[in-house]
Amino acid sequence: MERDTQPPCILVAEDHNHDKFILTEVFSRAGIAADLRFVSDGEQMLDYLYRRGPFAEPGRAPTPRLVLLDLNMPRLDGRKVLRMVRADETLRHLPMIALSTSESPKHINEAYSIGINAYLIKPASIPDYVAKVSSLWKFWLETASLPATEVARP
Amino acid sequence: MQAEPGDGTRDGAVAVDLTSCDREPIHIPGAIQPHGMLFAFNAGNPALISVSANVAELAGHPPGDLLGRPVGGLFDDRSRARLLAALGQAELTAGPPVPLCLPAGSDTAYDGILHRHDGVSFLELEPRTDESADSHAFFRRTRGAIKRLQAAATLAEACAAAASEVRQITGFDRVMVYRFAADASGEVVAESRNDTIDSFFGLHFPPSDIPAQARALYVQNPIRIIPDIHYRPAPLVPDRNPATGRVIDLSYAVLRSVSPIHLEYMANMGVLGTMSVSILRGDRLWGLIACHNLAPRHVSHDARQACEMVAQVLAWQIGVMEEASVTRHGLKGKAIQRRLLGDIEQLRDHRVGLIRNSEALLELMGASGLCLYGRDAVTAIGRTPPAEAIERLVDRIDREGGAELFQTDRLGLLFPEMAPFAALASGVLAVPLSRSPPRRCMLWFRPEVAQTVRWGGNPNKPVTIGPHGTRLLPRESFAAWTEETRGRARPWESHEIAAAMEMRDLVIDVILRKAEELERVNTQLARSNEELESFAYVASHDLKEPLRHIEAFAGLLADSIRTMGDERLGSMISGIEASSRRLRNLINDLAEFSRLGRQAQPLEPARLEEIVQEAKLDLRQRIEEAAAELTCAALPTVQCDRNQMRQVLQNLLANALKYRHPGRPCRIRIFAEPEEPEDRRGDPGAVAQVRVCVSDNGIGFDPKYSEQVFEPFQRLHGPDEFEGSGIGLAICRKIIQRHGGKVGVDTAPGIGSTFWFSLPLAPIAEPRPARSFGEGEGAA
Repeated sequence: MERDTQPPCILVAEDHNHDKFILTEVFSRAGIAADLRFVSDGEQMLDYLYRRGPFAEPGRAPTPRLVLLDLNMPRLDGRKVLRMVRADETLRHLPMIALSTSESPKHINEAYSIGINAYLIKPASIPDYVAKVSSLWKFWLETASLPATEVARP
Repeated sequence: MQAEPGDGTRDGAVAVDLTSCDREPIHIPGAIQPHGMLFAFNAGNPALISVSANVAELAGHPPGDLLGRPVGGLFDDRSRARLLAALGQAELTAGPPVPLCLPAGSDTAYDGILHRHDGVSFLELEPRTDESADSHAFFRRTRGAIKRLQAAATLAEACAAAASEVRQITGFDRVMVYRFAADASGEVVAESRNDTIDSFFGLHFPPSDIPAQARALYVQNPIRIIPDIHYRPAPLVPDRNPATGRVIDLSYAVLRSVSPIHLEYMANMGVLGTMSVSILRGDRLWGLIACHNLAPRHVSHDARQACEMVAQVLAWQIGVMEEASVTRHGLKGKAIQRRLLGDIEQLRDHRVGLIRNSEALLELMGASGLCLYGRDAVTAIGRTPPAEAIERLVDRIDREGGAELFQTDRLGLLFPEMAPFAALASGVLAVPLSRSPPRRCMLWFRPEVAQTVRWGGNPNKPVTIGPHGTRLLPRESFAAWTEETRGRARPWESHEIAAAMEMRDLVIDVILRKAEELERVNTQLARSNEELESFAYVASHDLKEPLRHIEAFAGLLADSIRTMGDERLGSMISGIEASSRRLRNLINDLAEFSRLGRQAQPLEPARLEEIVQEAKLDLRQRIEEAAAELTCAALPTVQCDRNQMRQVLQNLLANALKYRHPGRPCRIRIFAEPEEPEDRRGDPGAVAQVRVCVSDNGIGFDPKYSEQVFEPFQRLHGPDEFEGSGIGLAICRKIIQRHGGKVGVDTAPGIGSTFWFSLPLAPIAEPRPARSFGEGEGAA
């Protein structure tokens, strides 16, 4: 358990630096004090969640309250990571939100069927983006009761 | 008919008709022509068993005195010696005629002609003429005749030469070469004559004029002569062979008395002396050399032999020429095929190639019409029955069984429903181009024979009633023959059928090759279309990401800059934002365009009015903004992909709203009218189509752009005047094309535009009454 005084940790799996930058800006403009942690692909995300490799050092990988997941990532893509997380006893309750550019109903349905908690289409305009992130924050961190998460130790 | 000359029946007591002609036993007339005498005795026994009754006048012995006496006893020693020598020959007919004098001791000379038949030996005496003695004349004549015949280049020339030679040898007024057709009717194919007699050249004669048993006799005995048709026959005494009890068979006798019917026929033509020589090709009677004289005329044995020789040489020439003609026909066929193939390859269409070579093809096949029949198209060349009749005929042929080839020379008799087209199609040769239905075939047509021949019976001559009634007149027998040949065509010959099969192989080759080529091109097209679509989709998808980043960064910048209050920087960042937005719209449209082919749903009946209502709902906001008045007439149910149709209507309505005229209230009308098919004949099974129109009173445009507006990314206005990527109409066109319809626009600058598209009507009848369709517009 993290200490309550710390801002809530949000793990963002996003391969694109521009998107990382924009997302950070959007959080800031929405006035949200969140501890954003970024990983660039599925493998890094698993390393983070299992605190191994570069994330083995204590404090390097605070337990996330929420995961924002780009479904299309190099190496291990978002869908596979999602399946692995849902298959793991210790991680399966972790709320995971898809952040995607695809509006295709096929992609959306597929994501829900393998266990995504919500599917967000990345807006192009900053005001839209700010509005979406604000309501996301309001619902998941201020409205919903989230499961208590224990992160497995290696 | 048992009527025999000389026993009174010539006076007309016996009813005669043309069919009785076929039954008349002309080989056993029991009489001879009286210009000569006949003596018959059994082979190996010189005792006479029968003599002609005229021996009483000509030889001075009543017949009764001669019977039972040896034949040699009639003559003086010299004549008897010559006769016995001739009788000693193994082959009686081989030698020249035997010069004999009768009565014994007189100077009256005869040609003694011997033959043996049915166990009976015959001695016939014909008056001897001076020329009979001149054997050199015979050789001179025949040698010259053979030379001239062999010099002939064509069949017609050979026949003409033969006619001319025979006339020179015999001195007849008219000598004709008469050719039998397969149905035993005949045609005069060559003629030589003097000015005193009419021409028969080119005339046709019905089979009944030379009945079957006469034709059979002509095969056995190649020559027949009637020096004077008004002769009184001399009966044989007795007319039966006492040894066998059978009537004496005169098949090979030169003096044989002929049928009274024939004599009457000749008399009706005004002919008093005749001779005919058979032209035999093997056992087949190809034709006759027929000779007519206005006065009685006798021809000596030697001259007859010369004529027989001419006929034989002509027969050989005919054989050579017929073979050559079949070969030439084949070569000509090959040449036409080569030209046809060249044309087809050049024109890339076998139908056009066939039309271009139609005259040569029809001539080659001896046909007057050709039709290429397919379910999709009927191509007719020359004279053919109408397409519907051909369609029925092909169905009928199909039902008769899947024969490789169908041929007839009497279509109307076979299929009575085709009888009305006898004049065009009595003969049909149908060659299938595909093995199984739907049938494709090539049909050759021939007219009725009666349409193609010149009659031998001169209809302008007054009818003279003969002793056996009118039917024996040439003119009347033609009327009978016309009836007989009604609905019949010249039969298809084997080399013509072979030529048709070759033509079929050629056309099939072309069709197959074309089909393969078409399939290959289609596959390529489909593949490149697919590639293009997936490329467009991937490209638009990959373009979107950097664009989204540009928009986001511009948005972030805009926030920061606005707080700085610098207007110049503010308008720059607005420019970036506007351009990004436009680019995003373009990319979205492109993605949409590329998706059309892949997200297509099957076509189903849908009510256009409902789809219009949906499109209106989608555009509700814009309609309100434009304060547009939108009316929609009653619309039919169509075969369509509902989503795509909604997209088309959305696009057209959005355009009408967007390009409204600033100076007047926007009015948009949606209505439908029946689509006029461009070519109903080409496709009788065409589905009824409807044209749906979206008409506005907007700004319109120059009609010269009315094609261009449907091209992707073609815009008539700058982006600052009107928003949009310029792909909406391209999407419409693609969708409508997929539905088998067309799009178009009628427009006038400053007045407005009517965009329209055509669609197939739903096959199920619409419950709505048809009259409301296109009428009674109601406000939407």
